[in-house]
Amino acid sequence: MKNKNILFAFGLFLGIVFSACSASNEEVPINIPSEDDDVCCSQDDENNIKLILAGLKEVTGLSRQSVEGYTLKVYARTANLYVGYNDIYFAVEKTESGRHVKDFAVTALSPLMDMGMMKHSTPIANQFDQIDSYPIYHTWVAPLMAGEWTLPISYRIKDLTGTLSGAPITIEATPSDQVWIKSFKWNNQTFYLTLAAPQELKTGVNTISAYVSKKSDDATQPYLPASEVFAIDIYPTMPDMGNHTSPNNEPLLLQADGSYQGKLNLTMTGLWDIHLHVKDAEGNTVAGGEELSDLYLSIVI
Amino acid sequence: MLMISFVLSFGLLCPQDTITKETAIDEVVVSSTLGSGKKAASKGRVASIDEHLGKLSKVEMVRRGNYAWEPVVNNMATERVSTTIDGMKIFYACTDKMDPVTSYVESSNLQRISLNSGLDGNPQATGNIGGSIDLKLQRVGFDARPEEYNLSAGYESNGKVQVYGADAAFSSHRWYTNFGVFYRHADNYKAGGNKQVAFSQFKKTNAFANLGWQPADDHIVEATVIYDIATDIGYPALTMDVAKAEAVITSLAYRREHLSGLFHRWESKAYYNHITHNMDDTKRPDVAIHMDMPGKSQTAGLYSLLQGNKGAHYFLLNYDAYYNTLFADMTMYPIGGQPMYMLTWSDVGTLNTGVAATDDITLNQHHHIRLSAKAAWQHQRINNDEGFQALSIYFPGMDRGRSRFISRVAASYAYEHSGWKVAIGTGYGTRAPSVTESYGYFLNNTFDQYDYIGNPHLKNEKAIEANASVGFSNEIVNIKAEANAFFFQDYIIGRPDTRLSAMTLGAAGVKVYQNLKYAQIVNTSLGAEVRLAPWLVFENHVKYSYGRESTQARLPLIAPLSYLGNLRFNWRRLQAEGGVRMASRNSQCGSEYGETPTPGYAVWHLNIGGQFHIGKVITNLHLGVENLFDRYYSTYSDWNHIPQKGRNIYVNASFTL
Repeated sequence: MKNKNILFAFGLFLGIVFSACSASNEEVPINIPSEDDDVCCSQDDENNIKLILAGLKEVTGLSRQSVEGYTLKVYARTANLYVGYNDIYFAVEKTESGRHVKDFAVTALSPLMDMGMMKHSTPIANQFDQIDSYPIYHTWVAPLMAGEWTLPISYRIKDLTGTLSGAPITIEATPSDQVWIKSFKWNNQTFYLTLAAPQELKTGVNTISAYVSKKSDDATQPYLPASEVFAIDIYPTMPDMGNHTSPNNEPLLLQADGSYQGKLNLTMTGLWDIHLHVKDAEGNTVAGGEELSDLYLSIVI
Repeated sequence: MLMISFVLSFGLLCPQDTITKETAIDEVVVSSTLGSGKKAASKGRVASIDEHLGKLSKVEMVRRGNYAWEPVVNNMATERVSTTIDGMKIFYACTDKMDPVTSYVESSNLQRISLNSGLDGNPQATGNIGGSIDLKLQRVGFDARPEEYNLSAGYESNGKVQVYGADAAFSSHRWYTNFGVFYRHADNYKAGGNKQVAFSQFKKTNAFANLGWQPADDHIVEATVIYDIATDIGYPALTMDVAKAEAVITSLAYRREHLSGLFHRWESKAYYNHITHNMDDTKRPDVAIHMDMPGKSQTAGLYSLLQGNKGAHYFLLNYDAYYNTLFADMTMYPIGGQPMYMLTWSDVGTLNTGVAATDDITLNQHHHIRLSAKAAWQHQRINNDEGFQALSIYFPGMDRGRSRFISRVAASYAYEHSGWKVAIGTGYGTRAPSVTESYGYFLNNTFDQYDYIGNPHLKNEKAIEANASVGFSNEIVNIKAEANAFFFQDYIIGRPDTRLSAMTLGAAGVKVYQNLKYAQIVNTSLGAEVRLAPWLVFENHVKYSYGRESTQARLPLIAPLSYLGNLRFNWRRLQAEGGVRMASRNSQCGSEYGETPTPGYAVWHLNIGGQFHIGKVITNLHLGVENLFDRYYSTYSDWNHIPQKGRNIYVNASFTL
């Protein structure tokens, strides 16, 4: 009997860790509330969702917005959002039970900064991706500057739709004066280059991804990825080391998923300026220039 | 007690076997340096290791300051020279070669320094194309004087050098021990014309202990511990100094003596040594960016050596293995900026194991043959991921580790008859690239102002050596003409890669180590000693060397034409010497490699030494003047032409009870 218990406990452990083993054994001592089955997930899914979210932080001021018995939670890598690229994640809980709701979607995110004289939005992703088919949605937002922003979130929870405006939240400046987002003008339009990943750059060869977004004609509308195709040469230098540079970098080129990918080689830690040379599909200079162009991002590793 | 003595044991020229050699050393021990006919530094016991090394005729010293000079053998530096301490491998811990391993021992630790020229290395040596240096530790041994005490002290006027040492030895049939402490201190020295050389100070303390135990006759257990710490060391030729250089050297050996059969002696030793080295730029003015640059070297190893003889043969068989790790990193702190960090030696592990054999064949009293060979396998691996990722930027797809096979063979023949001695020898050997040459990362070389990057794809360097000498000696004259030549294939040296961007502020560019198609180094020397009177010897040495590589450029740091002349007086227990060292301007220097010519010079010296018995105390006194006319000069091997010491008056004494 004792052995059986141990085996059972081991099986339960596996079940928690690997959702695939959904051995719904009647001996399971945990009581699953059955009345929520259509709203919430299975216990295994619930555990996995929690596991995913455990690596993230709820965003201060955005998370825990309530709507008719549900709580919309917003997560990111840290509790604050920063200027430049931020991954953000959405999940909905049934307020009473704290269990996650399966049938929901985020339909729009409309960041806005009200500067009194003018209002403007900022680059965001043009889609919301579901994480591993769990009811968690991912998108990104890249605030242009630090300060007070509103981030209204449009949602659908089962048959319920609406927009949660939320209170204004504070976007923090990028630590160590880094610059992960930079604008350039072309054909009287403004574009933004956002360095997206990896968030933790390291010494060595980094495969990087970035987005090029176009400012909307109505500046209060979110800036979506540009339909124009560019090729962007990168030239990383260390301003503190007499602009020491690295060899074998590869330009940022447009990928099928709408991101740009390239190779960034960092020979040591410290402050790096990534000088940009943006070219159009024909190779004509759009912005910046060769080597030490004045269009550059700044990163610290 | 024992005087430090130096024996040049060129395999081909000294056909006697090791036992005979050691007997010869024993004689030196009793008779002290005076009139022993062996080389010894004129400062006697308190001379630094560097001064002792400089007495070896095939050795030149590269000086980056007043401390830790780098021995160069046959015009080849550390990469092509093996340095061992009693057969133990030890590797320096500074990426800028500020700490050649000879800087981690002290004269009082040593009985002698033996140098094998060229590819005929000592059994533990690997990569010794230029030669191998073995520092023989001083062990008092069993059945020596039951107790002995030594005190020594020295003072030098230039730089207010102070040297103090004390050691003691106890010996019985079953046990022996000797131990001691040595301390040196120097302020900035003055070059000729009373010009102070800033950042040329140093301080060094060395302590050592040897223990021997003979539980049964001819079963011997020996242990050694050396602790060496140098602090506040200035390097006027470099942009940085050293805050601390520290070494712990330990060994435990088991030896059998007087075995019957083919082999009469068997020695096995296990050892471990550890070096930490911290550079320091905090005392320098105008430092653009403050940097921390620590380095660490750890080596564990063992060897097992069999010695035997049969008929005309005297042979050695040796197995050895060692594992070394080298770690060095650099953190730079720009004012108000983000610190920058890189690994310069990425925790590179080297496992090396090999077998060596030598055979000295004495055909008869006229003919002698010596054969030696070694084969070794080596595996080297970058243990640190960050460092590996960084170097991969420059060598995409490189492997993290690499195995190599290295070997050497050498053969020589000597003929002796009625005062004449003729010897010829040849050898072939390969060496694996050093850690710096394979995996070094942005090591700035202040000699040519380039940043150096290692190259993991280097091939082994190969060399063929040929040497010959003719000598004649009788009671009046001792003349010897000697030459050796090294023909390299895949010679390893840094070459500029203009596509790469320098890291160090003000650097001229980046060099990457490459295999050059070929290179050659030729060394010639002529020595003549004439005994003008029973008490007077006139000694002359002329040396000339030449080095060129496959692009027809001259190799850097090749000694120019030089002359050493000495008049030596012997009178009872006094010996005096006066002489001159001269070198020509090295206008044919390695300008392609950043070397600029050094003007010629002539520098005079005088010294006198003597041994006196005061009651039971044996006293050795030395008094001398170096650079008598206070000339301002530098030699070709003074890094960035830092000047040598101006006039220096020294006096030292040692007392033995």
